[in-house]
Amino acid sequence: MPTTEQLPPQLCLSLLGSSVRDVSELRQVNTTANLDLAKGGSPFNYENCLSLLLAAATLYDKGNNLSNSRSPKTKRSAFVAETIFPDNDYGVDYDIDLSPSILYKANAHNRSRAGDQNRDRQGNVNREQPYIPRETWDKLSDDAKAILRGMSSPAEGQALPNSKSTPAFHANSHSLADMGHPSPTKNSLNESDNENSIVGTTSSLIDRGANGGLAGSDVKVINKTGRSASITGINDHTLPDLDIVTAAGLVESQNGPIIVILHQYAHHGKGKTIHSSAQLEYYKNTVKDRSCVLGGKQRIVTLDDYVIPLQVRQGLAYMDMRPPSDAEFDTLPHVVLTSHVNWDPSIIDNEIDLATDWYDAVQDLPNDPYVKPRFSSTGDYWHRHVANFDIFWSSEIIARSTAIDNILSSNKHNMVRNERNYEALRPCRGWVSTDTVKKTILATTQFAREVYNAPMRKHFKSRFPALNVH
Amino acid sequence: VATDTIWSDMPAIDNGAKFAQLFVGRRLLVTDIYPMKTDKEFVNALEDNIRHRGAMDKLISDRAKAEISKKVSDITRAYNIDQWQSEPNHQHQNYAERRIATVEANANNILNKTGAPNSTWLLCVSYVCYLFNHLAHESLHDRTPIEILSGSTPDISVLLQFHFWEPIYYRLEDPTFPSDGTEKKGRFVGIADSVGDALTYKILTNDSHKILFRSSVRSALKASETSLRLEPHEGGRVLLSLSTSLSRVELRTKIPMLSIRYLVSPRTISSAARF
Repeated sequence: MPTTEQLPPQLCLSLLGSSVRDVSELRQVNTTANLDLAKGGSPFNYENCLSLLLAAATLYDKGNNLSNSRSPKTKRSAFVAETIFPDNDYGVDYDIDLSPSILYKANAHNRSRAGDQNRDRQGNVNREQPYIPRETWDKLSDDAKAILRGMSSPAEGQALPNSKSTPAFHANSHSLADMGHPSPTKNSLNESDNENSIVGTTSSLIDRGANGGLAGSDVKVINKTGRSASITGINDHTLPDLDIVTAAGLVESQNGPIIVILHQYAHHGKGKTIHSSAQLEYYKNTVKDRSCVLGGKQRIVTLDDYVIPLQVRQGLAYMDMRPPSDAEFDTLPHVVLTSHVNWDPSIIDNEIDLATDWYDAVQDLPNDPYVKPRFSSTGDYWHRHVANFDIFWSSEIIARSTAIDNILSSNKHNMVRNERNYEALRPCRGWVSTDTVKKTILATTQFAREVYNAPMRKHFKSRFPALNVH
Repeated sequence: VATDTIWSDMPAIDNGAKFAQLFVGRRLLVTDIYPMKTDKEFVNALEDNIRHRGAMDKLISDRAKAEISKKVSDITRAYNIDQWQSEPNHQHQNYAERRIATVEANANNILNKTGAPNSTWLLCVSYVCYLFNHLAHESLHDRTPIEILSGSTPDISVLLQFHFWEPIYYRLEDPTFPSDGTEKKGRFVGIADSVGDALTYKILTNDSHKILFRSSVRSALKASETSLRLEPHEGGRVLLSLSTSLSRVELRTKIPMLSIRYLVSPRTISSAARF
């Protein structure tokens, strides 16, 4: 290996120390070395540190019974998930002639993957990042800094400037400030794009059917108001005496992660947080929970113009949220979502008086459509016409110039009532003139009907009910 | 209201009456008629008319003794009815005279058209009066007199079922089996407006010449519903009419069908065709 591509010994030592930093037993080796150095002892080199760490790791494995991991009685650990990655996941074949930059990238990648479990457990992704002391960082070459900063080798020509950060780094700057770094030097792996990401968060429900917020396990309770509330749900299932609290959650926005402050939430502490759309909108937030599939915006626009995206899952709108760490709570911007004033859902009550002409006050009633509907509200076809097909037999009628007129004329309804045969009624009218019969028919009614069936029978009531007059 | 007496030279078929007192409103033209056997029954006729239509404003009559009698004066006093009589030999002053002429003319026309006997004059006059009350009149703006009087549009369905003297079958009550059959034949002679349901008719029986009031009535003029039991010779008459209307060839081709329809032998039909 060329000398220019070898890591400095000090960097190797730092990387080694950082890699075991999460295990207290192994971290003790580094602490002991520092104490020895403080007492005037000789500093550890890489080989000594590695041998000590191997010995400590052997003891740690024995103490945790990890050597019997093949036995059927495996230890059950809460909050620890076993993740199996395929061997060829990263497509890197290690070789003796492999460039260090590629090796850095692969190592960094694997390290981040391995740290996912701890990230979920501890809720703070900063701990899995390699801790590099300031004096060590200053001694690093520019190439090494560039590699660590951007995880790309200088040979690939993707070195990033030291003083300026990319937009991806911008959101991560606060965590680096906590660690005392003068400039953002975080990696941006594809799998975990930033340390404040909301990976592993829970989904908080945006519920338009709720009239108050319910804080679950995905928020951090800031303080309690001293008041309580009872939540009643389906089938009168009641959660009595829930504290009304102010909670905080970490969500993603168009400007990166933010801390949302949730005032006047009933604290249940379990399950998902439920946000009341009415409570959010009463504080002038705009809740657009309609799915983009249905033409909606699928987001919440806060009073401070932060846009929080919503996720629609199984037809319900969710806001991905997790409890913030103390560092995140101190550094990320706080966005208040609900009012701190005691929440009374009845404040938005509004009854529409159906007895009055309420629709006169509504200005945005739908107007008559430009194209009249073809069907009535009961499903009847408006434009039913019975066209006589016979008219189209004539070639003159189906001529293009007269076709429309003929169709229109065929659709006209011209119902003519047959003229009554007044002449036939003259015998029943004493053979008076037909004109008199006609005038009489027009001036009178003829509603009664004579109903009889041969042979004639005795009816105690007339077959035609109108005749039963006495 | 004007009134006058209709004289007949023949007793009526039902009750033997030879007089009938006619009352007619001068403005509404509502006409009523009441049979009388003697002129002394005018008082009863007047009371019936008052009972039926209400007291009139003025009673117009001629100087007949029966119409200006003391009893009549008592009634008119009781109901505050004015009285006025026409001058002798000035029949035109009595409006009832004009109406009687109209009624008699129409009754004669009906008798002529139907072939009803003269003895049915009273039935026919009553029918004509009922008919006139339900006929639109030009002076009433083509409304009927009864509508002007009562204020409600009348229903004339009862007048559209039969014409006067139309042969009909009426149902028999409690007939003996099988001699009486189920129905008998009669004639339609009027409307029974004060009996039974709305469509109840006056029936003049063929055998006893009495007036019955029946609602179970059907026409005997419908060939398909003719009761051959009551009219055994009707088949021959129909065949006779057919023979005059059809040619011999046509009639001969229809002999089998006619034989089945009228329940007569083909020979009878052939003889009718020859006739």
